[in-house]
Amino acid sequence: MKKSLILISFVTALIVAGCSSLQLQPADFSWAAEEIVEVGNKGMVDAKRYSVAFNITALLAKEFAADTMAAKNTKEVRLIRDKAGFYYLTGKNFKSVYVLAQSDGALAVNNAVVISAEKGMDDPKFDQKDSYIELWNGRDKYQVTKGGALPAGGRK
Amino acid sequence: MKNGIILLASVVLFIGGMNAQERTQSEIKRDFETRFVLLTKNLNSADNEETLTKLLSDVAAFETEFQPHNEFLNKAVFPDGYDGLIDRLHKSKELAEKKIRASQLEKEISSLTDQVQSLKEENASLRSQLTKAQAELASLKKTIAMLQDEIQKRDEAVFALVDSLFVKYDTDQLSGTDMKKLSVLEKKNVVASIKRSVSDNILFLSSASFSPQQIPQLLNEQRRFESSWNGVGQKLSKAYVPSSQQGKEVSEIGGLIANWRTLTDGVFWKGVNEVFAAEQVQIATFNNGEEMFANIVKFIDAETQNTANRTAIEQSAIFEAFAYKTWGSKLKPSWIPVMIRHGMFSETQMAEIDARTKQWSASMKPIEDSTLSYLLMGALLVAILAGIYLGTRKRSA
Repeated sequence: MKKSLILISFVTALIVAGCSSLQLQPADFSWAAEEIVEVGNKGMVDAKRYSVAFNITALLAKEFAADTMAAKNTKEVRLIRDKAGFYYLTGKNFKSVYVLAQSDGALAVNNAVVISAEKGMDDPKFDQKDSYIELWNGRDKYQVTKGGALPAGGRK
Repeated sequence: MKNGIILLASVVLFIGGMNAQERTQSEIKRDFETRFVLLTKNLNSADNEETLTKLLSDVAAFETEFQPHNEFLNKAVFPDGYDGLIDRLHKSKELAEKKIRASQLEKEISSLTDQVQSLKEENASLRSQLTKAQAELASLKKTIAMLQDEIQKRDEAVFALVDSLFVKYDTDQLSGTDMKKLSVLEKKNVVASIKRSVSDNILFLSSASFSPQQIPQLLNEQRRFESSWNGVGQKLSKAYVPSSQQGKEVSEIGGLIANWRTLTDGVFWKGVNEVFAAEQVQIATFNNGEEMFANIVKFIDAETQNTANRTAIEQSAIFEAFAYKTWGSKLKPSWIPVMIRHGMFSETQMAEIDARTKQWSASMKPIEDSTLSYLLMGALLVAILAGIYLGTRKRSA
């Protein structure tokens, strides 16, 4: 009886261990600097250095809503990736920074961090700061994470 | 007001400076890449030292400016990073330096090629001038020979005329017939002709250069003329009153002939010295027969006693230069007979030199003997070595 109990416990332990996914840690997906990528005719962007390509037509439609001209005039966007592997995308006249996560054959919008609800950004730029992504808009700076944005030091 | 402007300017500059410093890392990366491309392009197209110097300074400034960001740039700039691009920049710099050096060398080569071409042309021109000058020299020599011939013919004609008038020069007193003959001479202006002839000879000697073959003949001419004049001159000096035109000319001719003799002797001895110099025979310079004899004897004695200090080949070369190329082949056939004829050298002196030359020859080691002895010694040495070698082989076997 005792032997049977030990055998059952061992088999159960093996089954539990086999069902949980293997984690490789720590991992660092961060890009040292932002990539400025051109928007192709069909809305494709291609960060060649990192072999990342995707279509942003849907994202432009969401950002500019009815302003199709603004969407059409967007010729380049800025893209950077944080340590955790989330992509941050924005561009001129954007009001938000989009946090994108990799999924099966697609990039899913994880969060749209609104920077300026009223007016699009004039000259947004990303900088890699390891624990967060720094966004510059002119002389305004923000600490952006996948959860949101905080003004960093305000106007300089 | 003034202070206000300065303050405002300072504020603007401060803000500008802050702006210049405010660059995102992406901007630093882009600046780095853009300026790298520009510097590389400029280095590749640099074509002179001045541009290169400026670019080298720009490269140094570029490195210094981005050095603080090298860690970031090594990660961000793909694939070479900061280190890779700086390395490439250094290579471009070296290449530009080499290219400019090559370009400078090319220019130097081009310049030297031009110089060579110019010198070639100059050389061709000089050759052409030389050919022309040689032709002129040949023509001049021909003219000199003709002139000498003409002067000699005239001298002969003048003296033939005088000879025909004065059959005997040794008569002290002039007869009535002689006086008549003098009047004929005056009519024909013979004294003036003789004077002119002497003057022409002097001028000829002073203004022309002569080949070694011509010089003994010149001496002959002068002595012959002088001898003829000695006879005629005595007659004429007795015939004319010293104050008359003819009397003056007669006395002048004596002086001119003495001058001519000095000049001829000078040319003659210079010519003899040159015969030795042309063959590099080291005989001290001389100006008369006695000196010549003494110097030749001294030379032969020195060489006879110096045989120990010279190789057989040297001895032979010096002996050949003196005995065969100068004394035997040139002086004895054409110069010495003239000298003997005019009392400048004696048969005894010539015989003495011949005798000493023979002694010199006898004291020399023939080349053949020494060469033969070397060969014999060499053969003997080889035979001894071969014997030793064969003996050693037999013993070891």
